Amino acid sequence: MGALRAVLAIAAKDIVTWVRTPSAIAVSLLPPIAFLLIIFVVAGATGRNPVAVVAEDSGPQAQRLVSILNDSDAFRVQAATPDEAAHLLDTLQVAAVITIPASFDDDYRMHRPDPVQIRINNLNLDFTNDLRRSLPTAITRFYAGQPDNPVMVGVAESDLRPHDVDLVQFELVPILVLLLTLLGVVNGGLATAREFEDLTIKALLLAPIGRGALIAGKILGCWVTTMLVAALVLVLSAVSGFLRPAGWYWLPALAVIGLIALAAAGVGAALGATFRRFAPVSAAGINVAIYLFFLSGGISVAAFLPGWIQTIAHFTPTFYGVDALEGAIFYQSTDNLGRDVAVLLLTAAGGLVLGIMSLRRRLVLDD
Amino acid sequence: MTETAIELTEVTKRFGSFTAIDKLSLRVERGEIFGLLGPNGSGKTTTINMISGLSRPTSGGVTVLGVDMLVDPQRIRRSLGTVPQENALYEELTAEANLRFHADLFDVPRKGIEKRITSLLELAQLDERRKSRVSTFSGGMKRRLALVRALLHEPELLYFDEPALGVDVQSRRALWDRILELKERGTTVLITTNYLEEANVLCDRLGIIDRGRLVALDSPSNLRRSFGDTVLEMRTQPVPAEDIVRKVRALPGVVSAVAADEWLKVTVEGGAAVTGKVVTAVVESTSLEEIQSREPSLDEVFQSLTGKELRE
Repeated sequence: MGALRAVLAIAAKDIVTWVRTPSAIAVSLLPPIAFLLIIFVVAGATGRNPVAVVAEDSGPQAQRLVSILNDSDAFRVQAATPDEAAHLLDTLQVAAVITIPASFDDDYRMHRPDPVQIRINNLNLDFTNDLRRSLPTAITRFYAGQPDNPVMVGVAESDLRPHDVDLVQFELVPILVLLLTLLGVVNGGLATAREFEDLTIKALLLAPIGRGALIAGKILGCWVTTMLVAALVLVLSAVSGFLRPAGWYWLPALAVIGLIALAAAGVGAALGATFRRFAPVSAAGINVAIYLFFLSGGISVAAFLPGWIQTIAHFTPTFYGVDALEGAIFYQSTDNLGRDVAVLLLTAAGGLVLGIMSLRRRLVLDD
Repeated sequence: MTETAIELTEVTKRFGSFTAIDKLSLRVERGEIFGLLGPNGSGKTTTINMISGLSRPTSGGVTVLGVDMLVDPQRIRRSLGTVPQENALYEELTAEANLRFHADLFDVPRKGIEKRITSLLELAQLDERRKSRVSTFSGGMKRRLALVRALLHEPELLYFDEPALGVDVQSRRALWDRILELKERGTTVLITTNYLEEANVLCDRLGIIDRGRLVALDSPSNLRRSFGDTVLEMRTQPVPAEDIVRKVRALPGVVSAVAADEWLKVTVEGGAAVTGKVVTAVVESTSLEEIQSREPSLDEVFQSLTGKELRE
């Protein structure tokens, strides 16, 4: 009973200390927020390019093409006169100007070539190629609905997954895993290092409790902190609709989150016991978490990365965490869940052993 | 119940080839205030670490409150209250939360804990600041809080490392009074200090430790007496020459004679008779401008035993 009381007291003390230490909160929350902002900006920049459409013909075919451009996923369309469009392009308010000529309907009826013009601000190739691909796609859609469609080759799409996932949603999972690893590693590290830096470790060592209770309290405090933040993020994500596991898939999602947090807490305790100072623990913790983030497919899909990175990724525990969460949250799939959970269980056990061994070594003042 | 609070028997502690404590034997009786003095690096902290179970002796035995430290350190810690030099308080927690955390660590019964915390905060004169974070406290307030935290689980033995450290003069006196009250209530107090006035005021007995060895062990007054009963400080004109110093040093009953600037400092043993002979010898050789007589200080005892200033 005494040991349990001590474990809970140490955990509660670490949670309160974390809440009252803005620098610790900032260290663990700012990097995921920064990545989140980057993803939002990148998604906004690459998702739909702003274009000005100059419709010089008001005929039905020209208007239908305008309507297709408006509905396209590739463009954010702004109707403009030729002068307005030129100004918008010059002042970087649009990436391109699409001009539907005055003779469009007549040319269409006469089966003459319809030269829809596009003037592109070819700022960089990625950007320019998006525009180059998107206009022919819109024109193909224009012809697809026509009874005298001259294009006989079509595309029959079948999807591997039950539904499409928005880029921002897709990137939220690795960012959630980054948040978990950062919270676990950095908070576990700081909670441990702080005891040595502030010399409060002596008060703990002089208490009539076993080393096991002390270590369990430290790791529990860090794990609970991580889970509380994760719960808050999950609730916000579920309410906003960004991340909402369907039905019982909440269970594997929570289990995976719990295991990642446990492994990270163990590694954090080990870092804290090794460095025993606030600054190096923060630096090392952030670096560890960000490397794990990239290797687990943060900001890209690990399976499409170069072979050597994929090989490294397969030895990265967070890769399995991301895979399991994507399956549970987006695709209602348990295809790799057994493998992913097994890897995470082993990682959590490894993290705990590492943390316990490092702390035990440091909790002796003899040598 | 054993009458001995702490017993070290032939304790040696080595760190690699360095011997920090060398066959140290020491006994602290229950109910006394015992002071451990020594220059930096003398082995005080190592000794205390072994007494509190933070470190194991390389050889020898450590018994605290009748329990062998190697056999049941947790039982000893339950009866040991510690006020470390650095206070070891959680700065982000309130005064009350620090005490509550300590109560949880020491498994103090929940029944009555509120009352006990309140009375201890009153004792520390911190009851009005119970909800304030420790980071907002002055050095003296932190020291008082650390003291009452160590008393929360009603220890039989209290270890206080440098009680006066970081405490202003007024708070220091109040702190000493608290420590003396504890002794009156039967608590054994072990202090380490570099502050001789503190040792003088508080301690029943002092152990002086140097290079890991116990070089003196007695009450403050006996230690002073062992160095001589009177110190004469005489200002002469001209400054005392080496032949006068030699002449005084040769007199029976003179423990030491040293010249510094225009002062001649002579420590004597044997009371007024010896003092008279010293003064006569000085007056015969030079002009005596001023004379002061006092008891030897612990500083002088310490210096004569270790060859160092206490604060070196």
